[in-house]
Amino acid sequence: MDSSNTVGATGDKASLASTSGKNTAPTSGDKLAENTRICTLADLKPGESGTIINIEASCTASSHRRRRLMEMGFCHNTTIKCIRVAPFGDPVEYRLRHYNISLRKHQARTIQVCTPATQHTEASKSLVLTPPEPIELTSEATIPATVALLGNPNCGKTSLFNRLTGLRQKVANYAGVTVTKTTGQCHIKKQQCTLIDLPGTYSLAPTSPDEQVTCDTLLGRRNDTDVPDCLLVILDAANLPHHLYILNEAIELGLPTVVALNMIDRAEHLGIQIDHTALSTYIGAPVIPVSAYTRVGIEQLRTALSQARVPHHPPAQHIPDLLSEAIDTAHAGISTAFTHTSKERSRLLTQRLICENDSIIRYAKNGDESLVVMVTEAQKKLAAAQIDPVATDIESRFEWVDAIMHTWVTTPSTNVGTQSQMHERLDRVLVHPVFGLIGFSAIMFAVFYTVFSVAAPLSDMVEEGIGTFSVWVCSFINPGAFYDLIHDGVFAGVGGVLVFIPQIALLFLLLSILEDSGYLARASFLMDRILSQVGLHGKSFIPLLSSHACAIPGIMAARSIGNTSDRLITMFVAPFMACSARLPVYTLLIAVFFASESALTQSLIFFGLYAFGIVAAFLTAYIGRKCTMHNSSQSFVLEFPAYKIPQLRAIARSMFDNAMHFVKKAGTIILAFSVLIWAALRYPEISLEDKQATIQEHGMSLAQWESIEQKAETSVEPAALNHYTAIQHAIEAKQTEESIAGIIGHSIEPLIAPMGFDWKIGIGLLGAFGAREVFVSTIGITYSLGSDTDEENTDLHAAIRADTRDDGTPLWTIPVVISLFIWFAIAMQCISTVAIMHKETGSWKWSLGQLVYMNGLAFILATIVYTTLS
Amino acid sequence: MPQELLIALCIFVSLIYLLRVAWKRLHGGCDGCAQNGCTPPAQSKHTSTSARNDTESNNL
Ligand SMILES: Nc1nc2c(ncn2[C@@H]2O[C@H](COP(=O)(O)OP(=O)(O)O)[C@@H](O)[C@H]2O)c(=O)[nH]1
Ligand SMILES: [Mg+2]
Repeated sequence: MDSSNTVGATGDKASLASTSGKNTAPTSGDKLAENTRICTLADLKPGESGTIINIEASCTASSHRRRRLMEMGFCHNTTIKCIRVAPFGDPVEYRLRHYNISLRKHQARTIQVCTPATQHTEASKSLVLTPPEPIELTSEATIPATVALLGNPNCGKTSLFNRLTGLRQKVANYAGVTVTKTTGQCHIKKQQCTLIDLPGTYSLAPTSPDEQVTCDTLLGRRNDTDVPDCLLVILDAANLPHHLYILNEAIELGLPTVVALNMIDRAEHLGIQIDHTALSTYIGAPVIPVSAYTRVGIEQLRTALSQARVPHHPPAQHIPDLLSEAIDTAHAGISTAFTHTSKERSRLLTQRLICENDSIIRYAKNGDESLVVMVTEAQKKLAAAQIDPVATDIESRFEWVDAIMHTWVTTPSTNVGTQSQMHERLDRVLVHPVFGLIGFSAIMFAVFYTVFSVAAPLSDMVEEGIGTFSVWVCSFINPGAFYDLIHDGVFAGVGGVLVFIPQIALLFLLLSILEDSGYLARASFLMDRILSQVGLHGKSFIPLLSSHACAIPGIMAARSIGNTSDRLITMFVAPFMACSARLPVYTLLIAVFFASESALTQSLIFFGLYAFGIVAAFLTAYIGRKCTMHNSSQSFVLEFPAYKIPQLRAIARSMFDNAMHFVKKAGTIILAFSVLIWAALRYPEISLEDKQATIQEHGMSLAQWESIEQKAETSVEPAALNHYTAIQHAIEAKQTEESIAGIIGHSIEPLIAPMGFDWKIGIGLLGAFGAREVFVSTIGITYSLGSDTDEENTDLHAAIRADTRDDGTPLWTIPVVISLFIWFAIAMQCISTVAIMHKETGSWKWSLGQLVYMNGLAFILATIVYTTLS
Repeated sequence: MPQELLIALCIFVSLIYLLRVAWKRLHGGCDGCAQNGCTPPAQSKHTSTSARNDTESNNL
């Protein structure tokens, strides 16, 4: 049966979408069986299946979103099953082409289905694949200079990249981990070759900035990179029906190609058999089964990169002649417009232009008249013939995919393997509308509870270790100013921060377990409705969660959000999340000022601080959305990855890397700050006259002072010794008051006084603009200045609590502490975040706006809270 | 007074180091922290999405 075109016959929308013209599923014009009904996808109840008839080209679904849905398999004749509905009725999870995906109801309404699903005959039979003459792959070996990795999100590109280059790029089990182009060196036959890891994309028509990076790189549209010499297309062998689509598009790029069937371990486990040699012959390029997990095939892949071939063009006969003619004519007319791309790539671009109106408008703006004319002409011709170029193109590609599946891939008939059943059972609980949300809250609480409470005993051990080390090091230094620097500056400052290694390590351990398990995509699905109520988006979830480690990767992760205003709002509120640099500050303040509370209360306070950041972010997003940007996205397309037991090695490595990074930060930035802050508190030294004046003010003669100073402490009577110590503290207080830090602190005091802070806290706050942990170091240095060597840390806590203001009232009251909490939770103190915001948004407006807004808000809230409470 | 000299040296090195870090951060937003998803600049480059306004750019 061949595709005799039915387009002219009915002429309705449905047939317009199904121009490839197989009458295997009923279109709305056909007679239907009695119990069959036609409805939209949104009308399917969980458990019901249907066959897709048509995706409306409605005006609300912009053309590229519709296109993307089709590229993900929402094509005419595809069977789709409704799996479940998220909490509060939106979005909905569907299953098609062997994978699960979530859509908002709004999008589902633009898709027409007939239900129950029709058992259509194999669509692929119309396309018969005949392998051309086999080619000799081993004949020559040219090592490509650059190899770009291309594939769907989450197919294991970065894992393979890491295997081939030995780097440690971040790998996690959700779409949108890699959002930027990364290069690394790989050795092939003792020659160097540059590998380019790219963000994943479902097709070469990008819908978000991360995908744009990939497409621009491959199409030679970036100024910083040339078109790669070779393409490594990576497919998930366990889910080829979904992944082969990108291969079809990649072939059209006309670059030497190697195909890697990654996750072959999973495919074998699921009983999927792939005749990769036959496939390789058919495509005309090496096809290598590999596993980044078990390392199977990695060496073969390395060798294959030197045998990359320009693949055979997929058979074009299944595209209506009219379409390919239209493309060719337009291409011939406008190929001059594409100066720096090859013939194949410019044909692909021409086709893209014909399919999308948005880009034409841009060309028109650029004044390229002839191009617009050619493309509009082609569009008119196709419209007259009622050919929908997008649907036709995509469906023909899927026809090719299905033919490959049919010819060379055997999937076990009982494809409900034990594994997928187990995943389904897990999903039933974890993504349940009610239990899912409860489970989500429980998981989040458990994470932060563990970080706070489990790490505490470990922290004590680290502290003891540092204490011993400090005594040992100090024993080599003669008493004097340098000794003080090491003891009071370096060890008090850096040691005070290093104590938090266990907490940092635990936080990253738990985050990476979550990231690698496959749960995060589900959590986004659960949270989509709630997030969209506050002006965010389900896809904001992962960027916001990542921001709990650090706002910078969080802001970068927002690249995977397609809608510009959603992305901007997400980036704007990401720094509100309590990042790992705030963790030491929170922990120290809780340990010092809530020491008498039970461990549970302390953890609750800790959790409350995290929650506070989240609430602040939500309120900001809500107000921001209400005031400025109304056009939030209506779509939420997110693929659900398979659940995975996190690899022990990978998470251990992530934990270790992040802990080491923390140590490195303590040993560099925090160390430098500690030295400077110590010096600023110590110099200029108080003059001898001032010192003597202070002693006399306190009613001790200079002779008496000196005699106590000379004698060993034990031989002085206790009362005199106490008097002596009191005076010593007074001198130190005077010293710090008159030091550089004291002068700076006093000068900013009027500014911070409304929040209840004195100049000493002010110094800490200033230091925190370099790195938030510096606040902890500053506190450590301030309160250890002049203290004795053997002083225990608990005494440091006591010293902090006992500190007074100049007028003698206690400095650290509960209102001050709460005000400080608010300041740290909200204020923007990180230059790197400002810089990355500028880079990602391309304007200072957003980055500086964020800086002013966050610090302003922190100031106002802290002031209000302080004045109300005290 | 070698101790004072040592201190002066420490302060100088710290200052220079911090200025360098500040400069780097302001100019790239990255001082190679390699944290959670970031990549060390020695081996890789962060890229911006700057190619968007190219003439051949499409749909975004
Ligand atoms: N079973 C299995 N899992 C893999 C393999 N390669 C990668 N993964 C997992 O697939 C997920 C996505 O990997 P990643 O490299 O981040 O994919 P990318 O988004 O394409 O860069 C991670 O959870 C990996 O641990 C493999 O060969 N076998
Ligand atoms: Mg990746």
